[in-house]
Amino acid sequence: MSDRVTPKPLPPHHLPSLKQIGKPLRRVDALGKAVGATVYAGDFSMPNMLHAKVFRSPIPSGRIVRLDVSKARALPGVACVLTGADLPNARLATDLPGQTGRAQRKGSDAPVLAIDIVRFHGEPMALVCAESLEIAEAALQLIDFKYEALPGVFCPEEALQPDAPKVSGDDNVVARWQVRKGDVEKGMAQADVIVENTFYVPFVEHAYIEPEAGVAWVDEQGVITIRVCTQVVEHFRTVAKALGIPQNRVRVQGTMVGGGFGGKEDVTVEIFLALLARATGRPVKLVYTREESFLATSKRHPFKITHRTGVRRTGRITAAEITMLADSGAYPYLTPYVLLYATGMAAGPYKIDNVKIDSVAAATNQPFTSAFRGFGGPQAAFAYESQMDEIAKALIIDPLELRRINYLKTGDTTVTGQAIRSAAWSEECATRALAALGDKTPDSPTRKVGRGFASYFQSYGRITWFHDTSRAWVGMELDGTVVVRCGVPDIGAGQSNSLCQIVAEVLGVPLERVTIYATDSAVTPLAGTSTATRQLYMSGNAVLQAAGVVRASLVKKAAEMLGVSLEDVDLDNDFAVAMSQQGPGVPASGDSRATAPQSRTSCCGNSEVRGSRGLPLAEVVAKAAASGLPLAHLAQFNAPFTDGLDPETGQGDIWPDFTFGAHAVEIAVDTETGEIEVLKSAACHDVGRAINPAAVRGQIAGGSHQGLGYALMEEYVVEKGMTKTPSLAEYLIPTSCDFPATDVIVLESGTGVGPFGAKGIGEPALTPAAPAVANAVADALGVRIFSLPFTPEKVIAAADAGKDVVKPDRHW
Amino acid sequence: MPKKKTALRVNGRQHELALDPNVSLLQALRDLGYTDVKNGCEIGECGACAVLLNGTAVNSCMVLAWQANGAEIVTNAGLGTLDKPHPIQEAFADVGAVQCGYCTPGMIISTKALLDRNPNPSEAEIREALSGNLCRCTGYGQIIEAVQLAASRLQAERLAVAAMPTASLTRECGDGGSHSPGGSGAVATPQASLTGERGHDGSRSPSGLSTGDRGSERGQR
Ligand code: FES
Ligand code: FES
Repeated sequence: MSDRVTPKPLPPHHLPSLKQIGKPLRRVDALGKAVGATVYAGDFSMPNMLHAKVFRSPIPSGRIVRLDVSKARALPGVACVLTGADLPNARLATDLPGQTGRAQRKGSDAPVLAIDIVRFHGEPMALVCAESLEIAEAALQLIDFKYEALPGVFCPEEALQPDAPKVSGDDNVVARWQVRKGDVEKGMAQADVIVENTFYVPFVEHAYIEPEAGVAWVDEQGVITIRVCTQVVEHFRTVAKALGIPQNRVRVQGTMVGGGFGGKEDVTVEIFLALLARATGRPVKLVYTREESFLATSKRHPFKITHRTGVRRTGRITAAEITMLADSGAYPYLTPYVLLYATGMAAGPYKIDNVKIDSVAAATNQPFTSAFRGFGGPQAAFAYESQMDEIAKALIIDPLELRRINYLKTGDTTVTGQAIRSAAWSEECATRALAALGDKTPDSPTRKVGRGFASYFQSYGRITWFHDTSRAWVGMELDGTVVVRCGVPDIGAGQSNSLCQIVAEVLGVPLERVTIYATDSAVTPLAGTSTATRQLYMSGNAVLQAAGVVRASLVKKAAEMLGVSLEDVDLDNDFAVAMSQQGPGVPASGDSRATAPQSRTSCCGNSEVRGSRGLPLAEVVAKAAASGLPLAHLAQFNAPFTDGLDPETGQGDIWPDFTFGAHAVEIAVDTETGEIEVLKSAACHDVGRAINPAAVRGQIAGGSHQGLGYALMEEYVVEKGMTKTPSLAEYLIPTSCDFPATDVIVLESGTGVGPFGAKGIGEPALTPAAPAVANAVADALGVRIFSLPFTPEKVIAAADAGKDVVKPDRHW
Repeated sequence: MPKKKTALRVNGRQHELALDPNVSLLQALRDLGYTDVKNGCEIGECGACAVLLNGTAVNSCMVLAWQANGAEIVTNAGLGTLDKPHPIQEAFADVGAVQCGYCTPGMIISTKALLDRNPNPSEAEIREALSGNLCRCTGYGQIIEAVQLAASRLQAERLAVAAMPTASLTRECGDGGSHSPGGSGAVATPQASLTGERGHDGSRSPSGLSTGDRGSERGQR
């Protein structure tokens, strides 16, 4: 591919200059974490607390012949043992009407503890709690489990065969979606070339460094309170449903989350803790070991994706026919929605008029799959961007040129019939990422250097038929400091900081003067989940509204005190100023509080106006409070409410907006060892508006690292349903020595639906990295590997044979 | 099991304990309330549990508590506080090296050990020194910048201190970079025999943050 690329000039766009927004300020949560003062879920203890452990299925598929816990119960120090037989009605709902849709999907729940049948290796079967962790561990050993192994199904393709063992329903189908747009037959007939390929991606583990943990107790009102690391404090409803108690009798107090990436989006320890706290009346703590964290929680979906693309010799795509098959594992969890996202993104950021997509997810006796950063988008992108380069190869045209001809532009409609309403800077991003690679590194005798890039588009915010809402409360204290209350779980991406920075901007106070209370389902207004790259969009808009109301009170009072019009008042750096009185040469902000007194206000005789610096905000607050103006406000932001996609055609308008961007890499393939070294990595995304550029850079750098891991090293190996990689020694994630830092280029079109025109970047950051590597490897070798990850074995096979490597080693 | 008498000096505080012989230093520290020492794996693979043991960074999950008898231990919280953060902690906060923060205490301990022995490390040396500390959030770039910023700030601080009259040179333990408890030379490294006891595959040394072994693990499965 071309070595030198010139960045495409940006279209005209307007970004107002702001005071706090757009500054790489120290995040409000950073210092507490840096000095070790932040108390994570597993760091918390209560007096008189019990310790819990979970007994898990050692097999992937079997009938429970005996589960005798009498010896465990009899062990001194054991307070409680529960099995599925004790809880016949406890179900874990993974689809809650009102939270995810209007009606619960059929068959969308799972038993809290297995009853009669176990369906995956690691499935929870019994809970133990005891006076100490050691006793709880000893009690686990005393549980007598006899089973009859049942034939399992370990591949979604096999699961769909009529004679396959049934894991879910009578056909193992967990979800299906389809898209029909235009006329695919006609489109294919118009094509000069038809390119068909099949791509495979494996199970992947979130591998956040903090394993799941929590403590639960019954408070003095009888409310079951669960202090837990979660992306979703609204799971208090899920817990209430499982326990059969009213929703207002469960409280989830979230903590700072030590990494989530979707893995703490589903319920983890919450229901177990609630059951044990209720049964014993004592506080109970449950912390997963690393191995348990691997075995017990969701994975990224393996997919098999086939693209058949018709294209004119000019490069114009005339038709796309895509099939997707995903492994749901033993229980549905969020599979239907992950599959929907993958389906909606399946064709990539390209304008294609004739499209047919069929996707299906099948249940197997494998680890269950659910949300993972990108939510189906990365799997789709690996396939569509690899396919784009294969098409370019077939046409002998430059991959960038091929994309340029087909990129979606603002106003175009996606394959699911939704108009792109914001900036679609695909080419602007791709050219910048490629340009950042600089001069190409030369080959050496055993090292072939290759370059590749990938574009993507990805939604941010939840599907609009979920009727998503967020609430936030903003209030001024009498000394001019600010408090934010918002149920937002902070999973490390700077969710709470962004909200504080927005409030600081609106109220004209330094960021240090804003304190946030977050992530408590009982005392902070519910803000919805920290998932779907939705919090900046949703809760950012909610705090913007709430702070705006408080600001209006302050401006009103300040105008009165300054004797100027409302429009003339600005709030800046702890002062209310009359903009018309700010003479040239006088700094609009700074540390010094005072310049010489110049005037007195006409309306507030005893208040001194301190020169062009204006009034200290605290004085304005005091006066506003004394006159009863509202200094606190609870706001609710509603996303657009729409219907779902048409079930026949898959057409509709269901995503709030999309983020666009690209990733480019230069890699060297050692043709003897098969090892791939990433030499350069550059990512460019249009984030709409960077609320905190340092945090944005961190999201993109971290996301692209995860994406490089996805490409080159990560595979959660499952053989016949048994996990083979349940530790960080076997499941390798990138270390500080594996990849160079990604060169991050941030564009700001200002056109997103978030506050100040922000788009979402948390999930999109990961998406284009793996296909960029795929295209670079193909560039280096001249042949393609169609399955992730690019292990040395596959690389050597491809290099030696000089042929494409199609099938992955396992699973399919 | 007979308990083992164990004396630990942690962040300047003395503790006299009687512990089961199989209790790890990680467990003992967390039970004492030093929960800034994080548990990410318990088998020496993540570095979240790193502490300074007589000035050397070790994975505390790979040391039995009784074997640290008499040792001077510094955890990340022992380096600084919200009111008086250590320059390394400040640098991490300033450049956006802290996302979820779960790896951060271990990262900062490894950084402290590195800068104590090498005040002006190259990027490659930083990457090497941190290779036993896994971070899933940042991609390491901003962490490396934080180490570089901390190194330059500590250097500036040392120059400023050197320019002062000698009377003002006394510093509290762990406050600032020029003084490390026990120094970086005289180090009681836990014995290598510790590794096997917890079923670890031995691919990382018990002072677990040593590096170069990560690469050799790749492709083993
Ligand atoms: S807890 Fe992971 S290395 Fe010690
Ligand atoms: S900041 Fe989350 S693991 Fe490093």
